[in-house]
This record gives sequence, C-alpha cells and structure tokens, in this order.
Amino acid sequence: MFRDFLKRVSAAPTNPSAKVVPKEFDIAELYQGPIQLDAVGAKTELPLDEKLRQAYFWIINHAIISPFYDIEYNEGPPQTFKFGDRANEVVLPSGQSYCSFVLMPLLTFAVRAKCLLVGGPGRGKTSSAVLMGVMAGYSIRDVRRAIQKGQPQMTIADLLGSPLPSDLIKAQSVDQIGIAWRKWLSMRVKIIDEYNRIPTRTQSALLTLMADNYAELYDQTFECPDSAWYLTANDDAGGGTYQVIEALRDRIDIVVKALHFNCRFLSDLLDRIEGGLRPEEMVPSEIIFTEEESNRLHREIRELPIPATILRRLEFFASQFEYCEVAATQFEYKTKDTVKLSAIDWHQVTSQETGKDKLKDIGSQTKNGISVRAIMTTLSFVKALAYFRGSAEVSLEDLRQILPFVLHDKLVQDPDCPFFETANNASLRSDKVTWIRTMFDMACAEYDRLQLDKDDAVTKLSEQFEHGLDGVSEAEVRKRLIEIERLLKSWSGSRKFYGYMYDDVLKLKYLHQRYANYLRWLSWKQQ
Amino acid sequence: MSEKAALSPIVKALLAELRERLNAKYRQRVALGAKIDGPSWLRYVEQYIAPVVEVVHASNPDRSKETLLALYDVGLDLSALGHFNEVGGSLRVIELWRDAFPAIAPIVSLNPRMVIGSLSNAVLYLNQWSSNKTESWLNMLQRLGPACQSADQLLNLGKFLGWTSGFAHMRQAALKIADALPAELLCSTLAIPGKVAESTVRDLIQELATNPWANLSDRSGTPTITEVRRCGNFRGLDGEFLRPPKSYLSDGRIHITDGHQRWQLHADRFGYTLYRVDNQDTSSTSKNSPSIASDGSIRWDTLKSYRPDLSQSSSQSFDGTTLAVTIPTSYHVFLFARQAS
Repeated sequence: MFRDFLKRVSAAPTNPSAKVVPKEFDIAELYQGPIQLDAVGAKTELPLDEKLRQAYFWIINHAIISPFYDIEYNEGPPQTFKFGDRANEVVLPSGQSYCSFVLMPLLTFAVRAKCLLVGGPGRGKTSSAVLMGVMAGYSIRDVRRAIQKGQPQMTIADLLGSPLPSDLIKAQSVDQIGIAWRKWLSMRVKIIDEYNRIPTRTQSALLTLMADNYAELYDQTFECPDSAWYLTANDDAGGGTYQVIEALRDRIDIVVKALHFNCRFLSDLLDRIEGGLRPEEMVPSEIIFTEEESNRLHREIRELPIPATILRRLEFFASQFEYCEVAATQFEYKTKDTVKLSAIDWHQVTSQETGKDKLKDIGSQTKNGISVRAIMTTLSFVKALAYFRGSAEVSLEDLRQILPFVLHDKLVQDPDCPFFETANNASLRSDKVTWIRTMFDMACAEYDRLQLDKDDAVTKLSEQFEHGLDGVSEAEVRKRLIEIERLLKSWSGSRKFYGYMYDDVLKLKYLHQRYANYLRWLSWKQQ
Repeated sequence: MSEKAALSPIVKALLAELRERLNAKYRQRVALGAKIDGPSWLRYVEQYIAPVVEVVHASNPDRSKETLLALYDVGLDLSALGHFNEVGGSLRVIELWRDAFPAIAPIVSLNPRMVIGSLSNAVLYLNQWSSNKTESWLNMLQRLGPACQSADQLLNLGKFLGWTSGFAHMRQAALKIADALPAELLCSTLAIPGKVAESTVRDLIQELATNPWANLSDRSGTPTITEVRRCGNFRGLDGEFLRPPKSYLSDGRIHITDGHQRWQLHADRFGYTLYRVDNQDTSSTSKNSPSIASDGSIRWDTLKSYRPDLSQSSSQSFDGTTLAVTIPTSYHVFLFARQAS
C-alpha cells in the first residue's frame, strides 16, 4: 500500500477554466490537505469529468514519459517560433493542451471504442493499454494475463477458448459441447498486442468479436460486454507478419502514434530502473473507475450536446470526399466508391476530372470518402473530448482536434494529387495528422467564405421539411417544390462542382421526391 | 535541532525488520522527484518518528509497526514538501510531530494513518489562518488529547479545539459535534473551573449556540453593552485591510470590505476569523436594531453606552447578537455585544 508520489493524483480542478462552485466553509477542510487519508468518504466524490482529467494527469506526470502536447488549445494568441531554413514552427499554446498518445486511449476507455496504438518497440504502447485495464478496476495480474499476444501460430482456440475434452467424447450433438471460453472475453478492457502478427484465419474470428461483440465456437456463442479495445502494432503499414484484413482495420475507431523518446528525459528512465518502479502497479485508487462509474461516464458523454452549427461544419467537411465526377453517368453513382468497386486504375479516373480546382478542392486529395462508421466515431470522440475538458458542449476546436485521429486510417490519401506538389504541402504526404487538420481548416475557410452559417438554403429547406408534412396544403407543397427547382437551376449555371454541392443536390432531389410523393397522395385523397 | 538522538533498541529492531519496505518508500519518492535529503531524513526519523514509536511500543506493542509505517509515509510526504526543513520549514508541523504526537501516541496508534495524516493536514490548514492560534490549538491538543478514548474522539476534539482556539468560523460545526465529546473533555476545553455536572456543561453549550458572547464564568451578572472584540488591522501591520474597512449585512451575517476584497466576519468569545467571500448582496439592519449615533452613543433596547472615539462611524451592522462599527480613521472593526458583567 504505497502512499507516495506515484499514488498522488493532481488536485482538482485540473482544468480551472471549468465552472467552479463558490467555496463555502466545511469543517472537513480541517483534515484535508497534502497528506492523503485512507478513510472512505473522507473525500467528496468528484465529477467523472474531473476524475477523467485526474487520470490523464496522473498518467502523463507519473506513468508514461510522453512529453508532447500535440493537441493544442489556445485561449488567446499563442507565441510561435520558427527554426531552420524550412521555418519549422513551434507553437506555445496559450490554453491547456494535451498529449494525444495519452489522451486518445483514455477517451477510448471512456467511449468504449477501439484504439490502435502504432509505433516502434518500447514506446509504451502496451503499457498504456495495460494502464487502461487497471483503471477499469482489474488487477495488474489479470490485465497482463488477458493480453492477447499476436503471433504466427495463434489459433482461434488460443483467442476464444476450446471445447471441454470430456464433452467432445460424450456429446451427441455439437450444441452439447461445453466451451471453456477465455476469461479476457468478459473483460471491459481488451488488449491485442501486435495484432498484425495474427494469422489471417484467426483475424476473422477476431473480426466477429470486434464487429459484433460475440464469440462463436461449435455453434455456441459468448456475448461480450461493451468494452474498450486496444490493439498495438509496431508497423501498421504492412510490416507485420500477416496482412491485416481490411474489414478488421475498418473496425478500428482511432489510431494513435506512439511518439519517439525525448532523450532529455533519460534521467526519468534511470530513476525508474534504480527505483524498480512500475507505474502500472501503482495506479492510485482515485482514478480507478468502477463498472457503475464507467457506465455513468459513457452515458454522460453521450448526453453532451453538439451545437447545430458545429454539426453543420462536420457535414460540410465530410461531404467533400465522396464525389467523383467521372465515376458514372447516373448522378447518384458519381462516387469514389463506384470507382473502387469497378477496380479501374485510380489515376486513369482522376486524369479525366476537369470540373474543379485541384489545389482548392480537398476532395481530390483522397481516394475514398468518409464512412458512416467514421462519422459516428467522430461524433462519439468529439463529445468525449469536450466532456474531458469540462465543457458544456462540443466546440469547433474539439472537432478540429479529434478528426485527424479518427480519420487517420480511414481517409486514403492520393499522394499524386497536385495539392501535394507544392513545397509547403509535400510533408503532408507523410504527416497524416496535420494533413487531415489542414483539410478541415480549408473546409472551414470555404464554409466561412460561402457564409453558410448565415445563408444555407438547403438547411432551411431541410428544417422546413423536418416540421412534418401533416396538414401542409397543396399550394404550400407546390411552392416548396418550385423553391427546390429554382435553387437547383441557380446552381446549374456554375462550371465548378464540388463534393459538398453533390450532397446538397442529392438532398434537394430527396426533398423534391418526398414532396412530389406527398403531392400525389394529396391529389388522390381529394378525388 | 541537529543533535543526534539515540535510537532505542526497540526502534532499531523495528527499523531493521522493515528495512526493505522503508528503503523502497524512500527510493520511490526520491526517484519521482521529491527533494528529500538522506541524512536529514535519517535525523527526522530519529527526532520525530522514533519517540512516538517508543511510546506506542510501551503502551501497545502490537500497534508499533503500523504506527511506524504510517509515521514514515506521512513524514516522507511532509519532508518532501519541506515542512521539516530547519530553514523555511513549518514550526507548527515540527511541534506537532516533536511534542504532540508523543503525548497522544497511544491514541494515534489506534488508527495511525488517519490520525497522523489528519492532524498534520489540520496544522497546515490552521497555520494559514494564524500561527499563534495554531500554537494554542496544538497546546490544547497535547494537553487534552491523552484523555480521548478513540481516534475518532481525538479527531472530534481537534475540530472542537479549532473553534475554542479562536478559529471562529468553525463554531457551528464544533457545536454540532459537542455531543460526541464527554463532558469532562468539554469542561477542560472551555476552561470551566471545578467539577461541573454534565447537564450544566450541556446547558453552557446550548447557551453558546444562541449567544456567541456568553460569559461562561458569570452568567447571572447585569447585562451591559460591552466592546467584546476588535478585529482586523492594516495589511502593512500583519492585518487584512488596505483601506479603513466598512461593514455590511448579507444573508443575515456581518461582512467586511476594504473596497478591494470582502470577508464574512465570524467572531465570538474565543476569537474571530475573516473568511474571504465573493458575495456583494447587502441588506440593511432593521430600524429597531442596536446602533451607534453620530455622537458616539450606543443604544441597545433599554441599555445605553457612550463611545465618543467611535462618533461619526463610517458603517455599522447588526446580526442579532453583535453590532459591528467602523470609523473612517481606523483599520479595526469594533464589535459590541450584550454581556453579563
């Protein structure tokens, strides 16, 4: 029972900008102070967002040496410095900023998602995942035993369990065979180490588990609880023993890179060696989440609102990517997905595209669009980030910070796009986080230029439609149909056609069809 | 403080038995950046920890190991925070460990981790308000603590003593826990001389609950308007105020402001505290309340008093038991009450 610094969590409030209740005297203050006490109830229960922040600061201060603040928030103009011939910029954020390698696994724990930790050996990927297991209330021994270590001989039985030998002999039918399911399946934190070393056949069993949350053996199933998944890989670009099946990769919600070791922190390593310290064995009780707290945390995050203006920005950004003008003749099929399914050479397609400015159009920088799963993951994580920061609702900056980690492996870059040919943008071919963030910034700039916050005809028509059709008169329906047609006519004059317009046109077509059907029904009713 | 204290064979044996655990605790803190000097820490162990362990071992040997571990843990934390330092350390924390803990060691050993941690926190908390009052609290704890029967009782006594040592903002909380303390202990705490029946002590507590200025030694005397306390001072003279203060009433309580900051005034027969607040709502004192006139005459029902030095008061407020008066030429707040004399 250590009562040392490793056991000490940061004092609340960890983010002082969050609302603080005015202080009233409480006699309990007399015995509260720097010395932590044992008594149950001696401390008032903290809100879960504060507990989550304390967990973050404990990990970053004591457990994982990752002194990077790549998720930058500013509360005023930040100071910037430029170095070298290429004017490498360093920003000193003016707000509380965070390390993605610690924060993203923590948010994964909070929203019970699936996180891939990539990076070279010895960078703390597995340790980070183990810490999450301990934070979920499991003993360090149980967490370590539950880690599934990917290796070329890994079988489905290794992963899921095996039939009871006695039942194999006695059973008259398959359903009579009892299965000894592996204990890790029932845990709320699941860790797969080096998942790209798992043989393809076993990967398929893992896919069922990750996608549908159940395991199947001998016609019998095991329902797993909702859990946070942590997968690690030394090299996610095909360097594993086996190629990871695409469906499995698609099930991963978020990708986080383990950054390099900063040699200025060598003394910290030495201290750990000399002190025989293993942070995962000393996780303070204050940051361990009970199952009830974990459920409540998940619920509270889901309840955090996303303002309509922020949601509209996400819509605008996400709608940029799917449109591919030359993919088809039928308007609905003019998508990158059509090209992909037809197996035509990508460059053959892109060379025919003429209808847009490829430096300006962010859609031309990718070979695919954003999937529904990726958008849902974005919404979950952006809520979790805002909740973690103690905000009452999601902000635009939250969205800007979360998108690169969700879309990291989801958006496939077209490195031959002219955008990357300019000197300033060449590095974005390898720096995917900045690339995605740059695209979001470009989308926001375009959104502002078009003044869509003030004047968005499609949103107005959609809101009008969402009020319902009950009691809407024939004259009103005809008026709305004309409005839609006029809008489409006004757009049809433009020679440039971008991704966001594609979704808008399809939405207008949808509204037109719904009104037209309603009009037909009204006419039938009046007969 | 630098002389080397000899360790008793008992403590030496315990230290030898727990050597690996104690060394690991020390190493972990140092490894994580705590600035603890090895030789100094050894000296603290000899001076502050060993005497307590010896007393515990003499009264309850089974508890000595747990007490040693708790003292070692909390001591390392305090040492890391610099409270044991000979220069820049906290004298009151040292007094707690050096003088009070040996005196109350048998009670400490009943729940060592909780008591040692709580009392150390209490000294740090109280010392932020007033070092002198903390010294008084420590002296009373050292004197009355040994009479406690349990660790919880000792901690309740600590809360009660907080009030009677002059930390008036603890009054309400202390009155609530008075029932949990034996009458003899309350008598000693309230300095009531002689042997008094338990019912009388409880009556006194009741009276203190309704009248913060109750005169415990003479309850039957004639009531007069008495200046019961003078609070606050110029910040340059170790006080709180940058400018001559003014009082006002908010939520039925007397508040003080110097134009920059605001405080809630807690005052009674044991002392006063100015508790910093943010509120700005003010309410006026009722017309029938005691007040001081511009000539310095004070009227309180049928009672009268005369204070020409407080004529031309800059503010006055009354909360039901206390009249607070300020003048433009003083950094003090003058408190008046009806008191038997």
